[in-house]
Amino acid sequence: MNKINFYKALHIRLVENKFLELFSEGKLNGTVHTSVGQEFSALAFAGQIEKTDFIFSNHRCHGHYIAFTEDIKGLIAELMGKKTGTCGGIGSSQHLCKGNFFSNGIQGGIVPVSAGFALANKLKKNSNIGVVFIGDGTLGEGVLYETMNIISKWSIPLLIVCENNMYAQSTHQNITLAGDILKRADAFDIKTFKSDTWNIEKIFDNAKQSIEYVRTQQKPAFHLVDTYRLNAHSKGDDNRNKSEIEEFYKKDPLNEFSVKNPDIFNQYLNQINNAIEKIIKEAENEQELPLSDYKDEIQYENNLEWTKLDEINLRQVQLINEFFKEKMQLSDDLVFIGEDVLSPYGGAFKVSKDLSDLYPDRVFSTPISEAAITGIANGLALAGMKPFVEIMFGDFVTLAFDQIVNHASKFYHMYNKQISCPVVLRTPMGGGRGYGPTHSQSLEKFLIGIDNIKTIALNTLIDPKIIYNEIYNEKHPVIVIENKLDYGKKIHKNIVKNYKYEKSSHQYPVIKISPLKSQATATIVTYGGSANIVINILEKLFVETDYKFELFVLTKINPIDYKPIIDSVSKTKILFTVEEGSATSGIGSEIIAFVSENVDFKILCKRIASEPFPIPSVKSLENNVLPSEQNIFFEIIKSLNL
Amino acid sequence: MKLLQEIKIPQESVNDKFVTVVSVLYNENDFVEKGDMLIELETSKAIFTIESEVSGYIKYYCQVNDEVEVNSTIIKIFDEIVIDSLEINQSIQNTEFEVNETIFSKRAEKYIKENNVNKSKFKNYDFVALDDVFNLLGINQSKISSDQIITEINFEKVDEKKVDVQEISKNKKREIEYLKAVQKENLNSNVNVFIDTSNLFVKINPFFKYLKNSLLPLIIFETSKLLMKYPEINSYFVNNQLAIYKKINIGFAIDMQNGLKTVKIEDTNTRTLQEIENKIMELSNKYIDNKLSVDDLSEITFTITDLASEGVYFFVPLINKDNAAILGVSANDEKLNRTILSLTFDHRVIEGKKATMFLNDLKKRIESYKLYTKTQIDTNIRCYKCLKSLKDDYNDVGFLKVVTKEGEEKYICQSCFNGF
Ligand SMILES: Cc1ncc(C[n+]2csc(CCOP(=O)(O)OP(=O)(O)O)c2C)c(N)n1
Repeated sequence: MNKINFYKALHIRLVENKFLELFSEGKLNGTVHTSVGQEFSALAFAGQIEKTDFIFSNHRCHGHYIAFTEDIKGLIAELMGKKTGTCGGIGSSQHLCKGNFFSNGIQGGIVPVSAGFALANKLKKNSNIGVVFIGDGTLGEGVLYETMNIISKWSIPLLIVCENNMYAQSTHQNITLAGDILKRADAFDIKTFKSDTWNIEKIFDNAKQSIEYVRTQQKPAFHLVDTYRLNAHSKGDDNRNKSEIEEFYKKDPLNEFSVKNPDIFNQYLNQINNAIEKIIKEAENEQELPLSDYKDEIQYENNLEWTKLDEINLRQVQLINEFFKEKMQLSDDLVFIGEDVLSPYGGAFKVSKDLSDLYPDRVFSTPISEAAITGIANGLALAGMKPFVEIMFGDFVTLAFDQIVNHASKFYHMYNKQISCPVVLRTPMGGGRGYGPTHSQSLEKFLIGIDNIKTIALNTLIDPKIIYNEIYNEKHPVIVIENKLDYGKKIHKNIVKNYKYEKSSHQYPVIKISPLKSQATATIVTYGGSANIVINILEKLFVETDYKFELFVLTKINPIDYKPIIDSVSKTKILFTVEEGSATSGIGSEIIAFVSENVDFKILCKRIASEPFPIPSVKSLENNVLPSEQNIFFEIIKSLNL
Repeated sequence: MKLLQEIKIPQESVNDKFVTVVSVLYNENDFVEKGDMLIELETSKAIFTIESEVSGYIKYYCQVNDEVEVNSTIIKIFDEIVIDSLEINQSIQNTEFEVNETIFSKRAEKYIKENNVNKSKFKNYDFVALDDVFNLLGINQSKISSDQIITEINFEKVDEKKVDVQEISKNKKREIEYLKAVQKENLNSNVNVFIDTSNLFVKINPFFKYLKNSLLPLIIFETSKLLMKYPEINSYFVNNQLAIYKKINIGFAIDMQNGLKTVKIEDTNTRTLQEIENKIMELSNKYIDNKLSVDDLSEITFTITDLASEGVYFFVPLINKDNAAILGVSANDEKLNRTILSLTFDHRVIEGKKATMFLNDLKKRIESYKLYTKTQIDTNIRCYKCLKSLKDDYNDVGFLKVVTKEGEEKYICQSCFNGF
């Protein structure tokens, strides 16, 4: 074995041991997971792969990082929380990014992301491949198997390296692992390889072979690496048998090397330690990132202009479908992913009608794997594509939640703005079709207030093409709420006597429906499918209550453009919000809280929403639970004390 | 591209101004043959379909659940597939923020009417609220107390603990519109049946202690049971909705020296015939003694008025407030052996057919007493084990008839049968 590899392995080990030392001295913040004992796995894969390839790693990523980037300074500065760190000190130990190297501390979640990244390479027709590292504990995560199924079926060039150190945190795998690890990959028809970190010649050869297999065959592979971590899971948390550790300590190739070649070993030791000390000295004098560089202020547009809404005599679903047809022709980066989206079926709500006939390479009909497909879309987005993932029913978005919250939402900031994830997730919400408790919900409230994600709700007042063209140009993740009942409606056909319909100059316009001439005396804010319901009762509300209502329909529900609402409420002092989800912690709560915080008078307000229990399927009960025309009308009458 | 047929909602087949689209039977641009059914429409009275008179490619101008105006175009059939963009130009242009018709709030309307304000003064207004009227008339609004305004609004409070509020169907609403044009707010209707009373009183008189030769207690008893089957008759119309009472409290009208009063038999449906008779007596006595409480007179969910003693052979009763129907009981025509039952009902909530069914059900139930052969209940029956008599048994299930080991038929009480 080439001595240089011992030098590199020792380098990783000494850097990590230094981290533990700095932690015990209270000089580092947070936590650290060292890979002491596993270094040769890092070197065999991350060290031998091409720099144009990519790596996704997990919480135990320092070794992988050093082997791939050789950026010791960036890593040390990162853990010391310095501006010069790889991610400006934002990500620290578990969240590293440099060039084509990425890590995230959520077990399993990086696997579909890496698959998406690899799929992007395949679409771009370069021969780059990727490696994703997981631990044996992560074999417990379902999304891993969703992804293995897909990468095999779609021949995605991704090498999964499972570093099997037998433990997950404090738990031995004999408590958590059933069956055989390699058989799991076998079952998906993924070629398997096996190595260990004690036969280092072999692991280097095998690693090379598996990398070449993936590259030349353009197929996935699964490489199991038996290994052992000699240190605790993170800092001091070790309850393993001392004698077991002792045994592996002796067997460790670096320790054997030190015994066999003490002179060379000590020479390396001094050389490396000196280099590390120098870097630490240097880093100690460096600055931390100022918050102002990190944080982005929400920009509110305050100089608003209002223009008349256009009537388009076409159905919403047809316009969305046209957007994709037109945009996919113009833009090679647009990828459409979802369940049942192929022609002639074209998706549960027909949004992708004909798309797969026109663009067979960029429309992916997927298995029922919401988490994996959202993760794959995230990976595509990180790799510079523009993926639109369709979640068949809004209710199923919960299965994609980890990918939304811990991945899409985080990449840009945790990697200190080196990369962005312009993924788009579309999903239809809403009841009224009798689909019952799990296919009728409006879960928007769980999809607002997620860091760095815009949430858009389509309506039938404005052309969805305008909205989707804006979304296409977004640099960051966007969630789009569509509405099942709105798909079939024509755009802006719902016209009420003596009202004018205008849209604001916001990027995602706020729609204002106000009396033609009179000053409004009460304000209603809604969005999405509820808009039509409220519009239908505007006249009746006036006749019965004597109040002149002004209605705002938001197209962006996170962050909300409050200016028009505050302007209106400043005159009316009455604010109703209407939404199809339930009231607690909903969009209405948010609007009323913000408006109350920002006006210096008391307002009469009321959140009108669904009843707080699962939506019944039977029509009469469903009508009573959802905010129907009647329910909204009565809530308003009650609140006005009439 | 040639237009082969344009289909409008036919006026002659319906009375309504609008119809509802129930289903569209083809997809846009499908090829349809002459004679194919194209669309199902619902009027206030019926569902009807429209057929194609030609063969060609179809385009709909409406969708399911749309309310479409009579005479408007709903379908066109072309000789080739229609490209949508050509159609856009034909869509109605949004008028440039123009007021065509002023809308008045109810408060404004009321004030205008009561004070003879000239409505044409509001010609260019979009909406006229009460404030707008005051402004125009130069009235200082602070003089009008807010209480006064609130009482003016005719919006009624509904106690949802006592009723279930339900939507009136679109069709019913449309029907109201239609009938209202002639009848104003009063949309009552009336149906009648007669009860064949031959051999009836002999059968029912034994049930009652005081009220012999009267149908009233029996009718109250049977009506209360039937109302469980016809909840919409035990309801009222409010705020354009149907409020269905959760309880059944039948009221009956008394009109003697102390004026017409309707008194309540609470939870009527839970009472026995005898209890109802007793209650009628008790309430009548209270009436005579002028001792009726507010509670005796309130929360009546359905009313029965019995004019038998007045010698009236037929009359049309009028519905009381917060009720949807009233049942009139006429005097028994002893020559013809019949009594007329007359149900007046609020057509906004009760279908004519329902009312008829209800009344016929009631007739049948009452006439069925003619078949009643009273098996004399021997209250001296004893339990053969403990010798308790049926009279002394407080368990209202009664005794069981058993065959003893000796092969004799005996009675046994629940306690002895089940063990203590
Ligand atoms: C989704 C998720 N669940 C739990 C954790 C907490 N956690 C961090 S590391 C770890 C053990 C992982 O074990 P393994 O995959 O075998 O990797 P190893 O630590 O052995 O390298 C756990 C449970 C996590 N980070 N993410």
